[in-house]
Amino acid sequence: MDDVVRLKAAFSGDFTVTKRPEPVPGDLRVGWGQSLLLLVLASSRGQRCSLQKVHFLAHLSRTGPLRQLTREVMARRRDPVELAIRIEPWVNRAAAFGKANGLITSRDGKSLALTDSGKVAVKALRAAGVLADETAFLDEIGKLATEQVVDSIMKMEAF
Amino acid sequence: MSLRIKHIRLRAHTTGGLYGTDVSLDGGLTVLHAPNTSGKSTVLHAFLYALGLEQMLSPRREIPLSYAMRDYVEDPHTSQRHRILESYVSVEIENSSGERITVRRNVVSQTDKRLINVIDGPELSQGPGAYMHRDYFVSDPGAAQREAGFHRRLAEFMGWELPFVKRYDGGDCPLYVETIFPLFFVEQKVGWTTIPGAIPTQFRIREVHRRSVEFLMNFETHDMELRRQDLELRINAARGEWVKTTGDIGATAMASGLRVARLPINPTMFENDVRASFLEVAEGGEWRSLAERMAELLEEMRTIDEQRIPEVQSVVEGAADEVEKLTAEIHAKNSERAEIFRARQSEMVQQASIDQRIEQLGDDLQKNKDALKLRKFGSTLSRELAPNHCPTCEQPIDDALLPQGTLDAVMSIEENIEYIGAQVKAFKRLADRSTAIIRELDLELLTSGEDVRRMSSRLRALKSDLIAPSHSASASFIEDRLRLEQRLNQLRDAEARFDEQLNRLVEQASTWSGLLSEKQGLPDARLSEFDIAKVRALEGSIRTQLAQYGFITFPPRDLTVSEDTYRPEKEGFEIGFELSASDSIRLKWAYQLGLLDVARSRLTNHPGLVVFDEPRQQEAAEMSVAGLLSEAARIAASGVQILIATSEDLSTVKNFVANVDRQLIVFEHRMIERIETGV
Repeated sequence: MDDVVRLKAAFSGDFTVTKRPEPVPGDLRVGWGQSLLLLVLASSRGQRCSLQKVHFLAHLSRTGPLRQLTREVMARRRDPVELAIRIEPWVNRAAAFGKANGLITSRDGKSLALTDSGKVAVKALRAAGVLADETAFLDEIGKLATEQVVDSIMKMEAF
Repeated sequence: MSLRIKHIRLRAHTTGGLYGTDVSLDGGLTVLHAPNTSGKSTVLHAFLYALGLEQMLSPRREIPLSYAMRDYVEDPHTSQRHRILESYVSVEIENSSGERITVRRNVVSQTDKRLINVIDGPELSQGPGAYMHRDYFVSDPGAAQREAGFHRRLAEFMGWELPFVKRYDGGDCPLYVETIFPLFFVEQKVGWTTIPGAIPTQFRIREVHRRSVEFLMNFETHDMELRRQDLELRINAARGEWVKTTGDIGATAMASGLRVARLPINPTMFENDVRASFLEVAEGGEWRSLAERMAELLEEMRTIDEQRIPEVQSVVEGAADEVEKLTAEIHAKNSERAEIFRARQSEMVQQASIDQRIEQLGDDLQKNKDALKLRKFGSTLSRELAPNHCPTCEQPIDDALLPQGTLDAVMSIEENIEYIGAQVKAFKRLADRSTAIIRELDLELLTSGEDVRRMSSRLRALKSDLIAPSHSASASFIEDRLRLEQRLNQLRDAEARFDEQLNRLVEQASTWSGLLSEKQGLPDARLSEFDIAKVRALEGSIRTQLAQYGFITFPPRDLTVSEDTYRPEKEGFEIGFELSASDSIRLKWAYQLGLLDVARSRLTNHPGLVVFDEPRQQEAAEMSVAGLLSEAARIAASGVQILIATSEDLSTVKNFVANVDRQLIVFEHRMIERIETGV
């Protein structure tokens, strides 16, 4: 009898449908993107770099194959032409969050830099060992990729 | 089996002269009293550091001493800071045969900090003499095993024969001294957290908590347990071997276009099960037993053998028709093969893309895990990296770096991790399926290739018959016979190889049965009656002590000690969160002193030493501390050493220990002070 009542209620009552939540790739999470951005800035000279270089490093440090390819290009074993660099909107969004959180500052809209609390955050990130592959890559490549080198690679020129 | 601390000395040469402290212990119960942040823990840590036990405190090999030994000394009177130029710690210890050694290790110095200088005599208490000096090393592989390793020397000195235990990676290693010391040396930072003790796990020793208690209590089960672990490893190895051999058998069979039926994939101890497997051969698209097929071929062979080789003219009539038929058949077979080949190619492409997908999923999983960790970061950074609302306008936002509102609902990170895990599982299953399909197609290609070759050579022979002079011997007949013979030989070879491999598997089956019976032979009860008596004695001691300490969560008589984990239990359940914080400290005191208490009357490996750094954690009531001191005095009366460091109010402490036999060492200010006479 109970079942009948419940069924009746199910058919006659109001009901709503909720859409199933959609998965999001890990690197598009707000926390992840911001952290990568912080690490990118931390790896550069003076903890600051141009938007062009931010996009350059953020894109190339995201996946294993891309990191490998970049290492080879930086070691001049491959031609810069092989590196397809993308300007991705998530980087700008991460930068916006970072700025709102007081972790980074932007200068004239051309370059980004770490604030003091940004530097603290980077230390904490490193200590926690998150984004380990990305950190290792940036430690290795960040210093080599000067603004000039990045500029040349973006123009597909030898550097 | 004993260790007594006789003297601890800290020295630092600074820009402002020599600083340091000395603590001389006369055995029995010693209460070391000094105010908070005066350097009590530094002195106790110095003892651990001198013995190279810093890995007991943290897996990182850093010096566990405060700035006062590493960086600068602040003069307690003038408050002036002096930079340290050189510093060392030194301890004098005694063993059960009254032998004393002095161990010295540098903290700040030009020399290698892994070196420990051992002086064969009581240099600290009786001054320098003509003693032997020798350097040992710690913190390096081999410190516990090699002759120049200090921990080997220390174990010998203490009369410990360190057993070999299993590691998680399957190898053996000695039960390192760092894993035993926490059972009687309770250090303030991490020591008070767990029972039986804060035993380091970075050595990757299996069930290290149990192993160390078993060793300290000298349980007979310890050996048994080691045998059990060893057996387990051998069983796993045998299982691996079995899988490898059956894999080999399958691969060799496939190389000759055959397949194996009824091969036991999991180890079995029955020879008959192994012998029951047989080879199969494909015949006209069907798989048949090899033995049957070989019998048929032999029969055919015999019939052919009985016939005389015919002349061309007698066979030429049917030959033309057969040529035509064979040509068509070969053609059909070849196109069938091309089909199989294409199927195989596309399956390989599929497999490659699945592999790539699995790799990408692994990558994404890592990123999600990182994202999860990052979300918990808020507390350390004082602002959240992944907030669920906009940091500027405070409106709720999705946790995604996509334009807000593109997704109706974003999966939570935990769910996302689960979701990826499920996908990986599914894709792995697909990958396995792909591998199986490719193997099957390979086998088909191999057998059909064999068919084509056979038909082609028959075709060649028939054609040569058609153009040969009519009285010559029929080439197609001879070819038939040769082919038959060749095929038979090939199958015989394959069968011989198979039998050989099967013999190997039969041997493994007998090893397997040996292992199983060995496992059966191990006694069911883990502990011997002596061991159980020790556990009960420990239980008794803990109960008596708890009553003294004012343990209130439940009546102390309800407490038992597990014969399995050696942890305290109530009604068969491990005691955990239901204890109040102060009761869990009381239990910790009782457990640690209980181990020593048991050691007084029974044969154990306990060194007869217990050190408590600041036992009054969590504001345990004063009365409990009084109980602790009187229990400690009772236990220490039988010649063991107990050192309790405390910053309790001095008059209270004096009051507590007024009527017991003890040594009271009082430091009114900082322990590390200016030393005028250069010692």
